[in-house]
Amino acid sequence: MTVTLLAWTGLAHAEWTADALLKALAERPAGQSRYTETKTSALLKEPLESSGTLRYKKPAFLEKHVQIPFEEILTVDGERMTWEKPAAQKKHTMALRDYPVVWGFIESMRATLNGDAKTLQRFYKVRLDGDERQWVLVLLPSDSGMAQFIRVIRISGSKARLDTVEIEETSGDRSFMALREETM
Amino acid sequence: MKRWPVAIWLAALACCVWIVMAHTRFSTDMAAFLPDSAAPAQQLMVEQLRNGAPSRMLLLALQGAEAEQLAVNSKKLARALEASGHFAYVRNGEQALTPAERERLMQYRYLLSPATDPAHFSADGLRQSLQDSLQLLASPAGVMVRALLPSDPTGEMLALLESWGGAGSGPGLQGGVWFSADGKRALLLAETKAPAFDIDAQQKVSDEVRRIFPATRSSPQVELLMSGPGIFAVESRNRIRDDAWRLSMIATALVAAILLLAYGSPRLLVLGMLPVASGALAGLTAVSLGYGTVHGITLGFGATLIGEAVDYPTYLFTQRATHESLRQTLRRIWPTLRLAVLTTVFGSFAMLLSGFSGLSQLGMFSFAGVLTAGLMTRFVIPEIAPSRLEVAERTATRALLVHGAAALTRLGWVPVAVLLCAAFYLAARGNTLWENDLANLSPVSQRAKELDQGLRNELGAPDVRYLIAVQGSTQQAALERSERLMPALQTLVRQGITDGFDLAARVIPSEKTQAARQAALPDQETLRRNLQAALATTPFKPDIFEPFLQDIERSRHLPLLQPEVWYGTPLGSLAQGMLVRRGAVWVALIGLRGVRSDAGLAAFVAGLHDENTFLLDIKGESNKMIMQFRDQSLLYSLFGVAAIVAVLGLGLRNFRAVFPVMLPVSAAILGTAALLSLLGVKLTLFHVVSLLLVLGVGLNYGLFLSLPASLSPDALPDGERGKERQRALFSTLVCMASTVSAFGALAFSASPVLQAIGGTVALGAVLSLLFAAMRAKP
Repeated sequence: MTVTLLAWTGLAHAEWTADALLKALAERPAGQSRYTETKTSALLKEPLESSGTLRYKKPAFLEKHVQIPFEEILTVDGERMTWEKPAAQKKHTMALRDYPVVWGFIESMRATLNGDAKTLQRFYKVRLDGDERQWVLVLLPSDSGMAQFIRVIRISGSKARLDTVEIEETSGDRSFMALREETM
Repeated sequence: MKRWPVAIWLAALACCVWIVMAHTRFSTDMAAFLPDSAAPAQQLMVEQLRNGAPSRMLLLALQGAEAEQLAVNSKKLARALEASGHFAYVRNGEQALTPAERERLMQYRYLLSPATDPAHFSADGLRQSLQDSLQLLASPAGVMVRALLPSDPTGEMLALLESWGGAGSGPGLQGGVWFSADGKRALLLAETKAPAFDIDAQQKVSDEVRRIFPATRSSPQVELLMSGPGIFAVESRNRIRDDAWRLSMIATALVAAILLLAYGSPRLLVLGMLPVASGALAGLTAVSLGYGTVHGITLGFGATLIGEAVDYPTYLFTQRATHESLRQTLRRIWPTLRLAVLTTVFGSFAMLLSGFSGLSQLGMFSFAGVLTAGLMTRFVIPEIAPSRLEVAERTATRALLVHGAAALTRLGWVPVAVLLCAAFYLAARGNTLWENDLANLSPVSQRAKELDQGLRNELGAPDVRYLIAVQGSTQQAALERSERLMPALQTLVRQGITDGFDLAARVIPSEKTQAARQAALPDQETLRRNLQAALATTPFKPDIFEPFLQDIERSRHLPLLQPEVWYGTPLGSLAQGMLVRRGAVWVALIGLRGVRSDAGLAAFVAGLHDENTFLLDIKGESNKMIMQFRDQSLLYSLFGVAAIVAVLGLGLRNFRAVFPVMLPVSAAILGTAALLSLLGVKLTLFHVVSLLLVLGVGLNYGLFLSLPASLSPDALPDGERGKERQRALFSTLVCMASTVSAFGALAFSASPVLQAIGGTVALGAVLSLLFAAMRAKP
């Protein structure tokens, strides 16, 4: 009886792997969430709160639109990243591969949302904790350039939905993002 | 046998050998093409070509494996190349800037940053900067800027890093190193320490790279591609040298076979080579004594020009009558042979007076060489030749020749017609006759040129064609002028005319600019007050910016940045190469990357209306320079022709006798030029030099074929006259055959230069003899 039970839990656990999660995420063509982000830094008196929307679309589009406390639109599509500050009427376009650290950082979100296991594994050692109902995807930077700045990224969620993204920097600073999905 | 001529010859030979071995220095310098009175732009251009940073650039690419593997290989290769000591720097994108450069940028950031002004450090300016920094901190780039923020809240360092190492300053990265856009090639860029004009040193560097590379690659599939001006120079030289070597072997064998057939004696063959060999040695010695260094072009063209001297002993050996000794033959033919030598000697003399060192060296070489060969033939050869000489009679050939020549004399009108038609045609073609693009003469393969362009585009390496030069009476004046151009240059980039620009003032701003920036930095108390005011509205902790306050205070008392600060870094080599002294004038050079519109660039510089700023079109200038050289060669050749006519007139004591001698060779030269042009060949400097040789040999054909009849019409009995004519025909035919085979072989070279020389001389020699025979009196 015990043996059967163990075998069964083992089997259940095996079913909800990082691959299975990413596969489930890959099946969603697009999505939009509202988010609130809290950045805690040794440089700041108090945590910096910001909020806005996060949109993604397969195969390679991601947009983070910061609305509060300042407006900033960060768009990534394929190879290119555009950074727009409407207040200052500034717009920068750059190639992701010129900024490997920023690129890796962005893929933690984009590749996860798109279920792109290959890209994710290019930048991170990927581990999945928990079960289908409450999972945590743990991303450890594999590239030394990135590991210099980022200790770990933890993304939690339930089934094919992301709930939180937590970034721990080597400096001790951290940021916590809570996502609330919107129907499109 | 008289011993003294031989003794003098041997002593002089030994002397020459000693001088050449011990003292002669060779150079392959473009400066040979510069006139003494070259425009400053041309001098500057030659200097840049010789040793400018773009000329020392080596472009490298690795391909043939997966990107990851190539990235590892690129890193290893870069290390190994750096360790080799041959390079001022090696870059592969691993680090946009070296640690030493980062440290200096950080230290001098407020003096280097264009943003430094009083408003930047006012409470309002700081508030704005802090707001930007906060946004940056919250962005994906925040993790990277966080460490820098306490000492650089105004973002100076980031802006400098961005401008030197950011996007657009190099190719994209993959695996931490530069890659081509398609991800198939890892790219590297290096600058040789060896000067660009030193082809031997450049060859050593490229050999060294090829030797190092296999040890650094992870698998034999990984291939190394190399390009750059140094590689091109080495490749051109080697191709020409290999071709010249292989074809000279063939030519020598052919000439030897013909002369052997004509003389029937191997011993005479060797004797026949002595005058020209001694002449070459004498020419080399004369040039090296007179000019210090011998240019590569002197050697190459000079060897072509004294090709005529091969004919002197041929005339001597083949004009010998039966049972005659060589001395007797000489006595008979010397008046004619002397004219043959003197015409060339004086023709060369004219060139010697040219203001181009290359051209005047060439004149000197040919002057000394031909004179020596003539004297050798006259005084030494008869002494060292065997007293009982057996020269083949070749009676049948001679008889056939006489018949042929008799038939040709009926075509006496042909040379006149050719002369007139060719002259008319050439005049009508005018400037379209000439090849004005040097690139078309390069023996470098099209594939190599394409590879170079490809790598250059992908690496964003500076354009080797254009530079903007800004001059001033002092280093500072030049720097200040170039600084004032920066806004206009930025507009140029925005308009898409060029992708980017580099100038020394970005690394070493003028002292005026630095001092102004330093003066804009507030004292510590003011800054602290302004910062406090600015901080009040931000979430930043008030005490974290102490490093910033200290750095500003330090910058206020920093000695101004001098070029020496950068020595030993890639940025330093840029600054050094881009700020040069030319006599009393300093020139700040502005390098351009990815020029997209030649016309747009020219219009931009013209639109500045600044006499101190000019566009240096290196390709255009070097073409212009070679064109000037060619025109000078033509001009001095005309002086040479005038000298030849004078020599002939005096020698023949009759100026009317000059015409029949000059007519055939003139028809041959113009006919050759016209025929080449009709065949679609564009004429170059090399054709001009080749035609000078045609003038030398063709004139001799005319002399030997027309003189025996006209010089001494009554001196010989009829039978002897006929024999003399036979001999003259035979010897000119042998001379022509040896010239055609020697130069005809060169015409099969793949290198355009050798092809031009070979084809022109061979064609010209054939026409000269045919026309001379047509005009000869029956």
